[in-house]
Amino acid sequence: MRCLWLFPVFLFTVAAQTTPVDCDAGVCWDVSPQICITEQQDQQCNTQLQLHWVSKLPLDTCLYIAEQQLQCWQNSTEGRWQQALSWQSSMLTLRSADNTVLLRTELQVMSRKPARRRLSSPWSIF
Amino acid sequence: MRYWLLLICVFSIATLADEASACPESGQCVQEQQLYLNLALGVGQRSNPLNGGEKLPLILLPDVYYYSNQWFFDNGKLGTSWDLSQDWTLSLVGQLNAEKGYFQKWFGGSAFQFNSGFNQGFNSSISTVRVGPQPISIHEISKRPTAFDVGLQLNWFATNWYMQTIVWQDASNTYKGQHASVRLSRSWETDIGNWQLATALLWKSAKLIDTYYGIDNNEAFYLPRYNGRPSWQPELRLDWQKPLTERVTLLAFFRYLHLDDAMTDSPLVRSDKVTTWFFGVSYRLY
Repeated sequence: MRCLWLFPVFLFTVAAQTTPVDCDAGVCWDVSPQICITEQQDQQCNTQLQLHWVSKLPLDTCLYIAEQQLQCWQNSTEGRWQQALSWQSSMLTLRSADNTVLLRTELQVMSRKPARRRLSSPWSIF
Repeated sequence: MRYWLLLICVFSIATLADEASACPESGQCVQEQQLYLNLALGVGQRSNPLNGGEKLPLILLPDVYYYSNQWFFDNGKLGTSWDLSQDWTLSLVGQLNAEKGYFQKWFGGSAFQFNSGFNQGFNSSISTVRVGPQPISIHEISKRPTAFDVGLQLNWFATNWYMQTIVWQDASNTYKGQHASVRLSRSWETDIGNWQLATALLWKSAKLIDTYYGIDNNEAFYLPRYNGRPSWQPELRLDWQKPLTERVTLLAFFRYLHLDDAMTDSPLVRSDKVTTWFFGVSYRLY
């Protein structure tokens, strides 16, 4: 059983639908993937995250995962971003220059082997 | 027949039950499809309330469990479970009956038994002197049977609280009786370790008591007879664990089980209690 740890960790990602994209107040984006499936519980997801946002008006925006800034754009009507990331369930947000959240998408990490409760007390036979 | 109806009822409830829910951080969680094996090395002992019965030395203790999506094995107990809600889980379980353990000869003698002054003093201060019929040693009676029980287990979980109710039925047609228990425990964390205090009430049917502690006409003619009665046995248990590393943990536990008159009236029984204690260090192999 211990040898299982020696095997590479398999991560499965579920791509988000390409249409329709999420829109709010004239800003739309497409984030992929939005759900990542790991082999074990509490395991981080290591995968390529990509997004594309468009706006009717030019904007100064920044992209955040949780409170970590990933990328900023100046006076742009669209932006593309792609990078391999290690993440757990968290919120991806696109914010304006005054830190107002323009768009938000929840990134979910799910496990193929979920944790469950133990139904007996430890050392219960003694 | 009524037990089959009960089982059918349980399966009907289980079919309607929700799929397994995620384990909250406050509970004791296990990963599905992963074997857990902990070994504890230390000193400890379980007393034996029977005349001629050997104390069980506790030196190397295993804690083995494996949970799949629905089936589980946990320290000798095999079962399948269904989450009725976020806080309630119902299980159909099976395991060997533990009663025969008091009649067992452990490691061929008493080499590992601890008879410290502390232990003797403790025993003498609490033991009651049994007044009853002529005592009988377990070496004078016929061999007690090995039985396999199946049961229904209901677990309730809350933050730091845990309750377990189990009703067992002899499935091996050996003692043809039942036993049951209700257990409530509370856990808390301190700077010096994690504690769990549990109280339980055990009930054992007359047929179970009679099979293991009764003296019937199949025994030698000169031995006093005893017909078993239903027995109620309260229990108190304190567990302490202090994790040192991810795999190494200091642990100790103390368990006190009180035996009522239905047990102590048997000429086989010399004590009204069973005490179990252990102190050691555990290592998680898997």
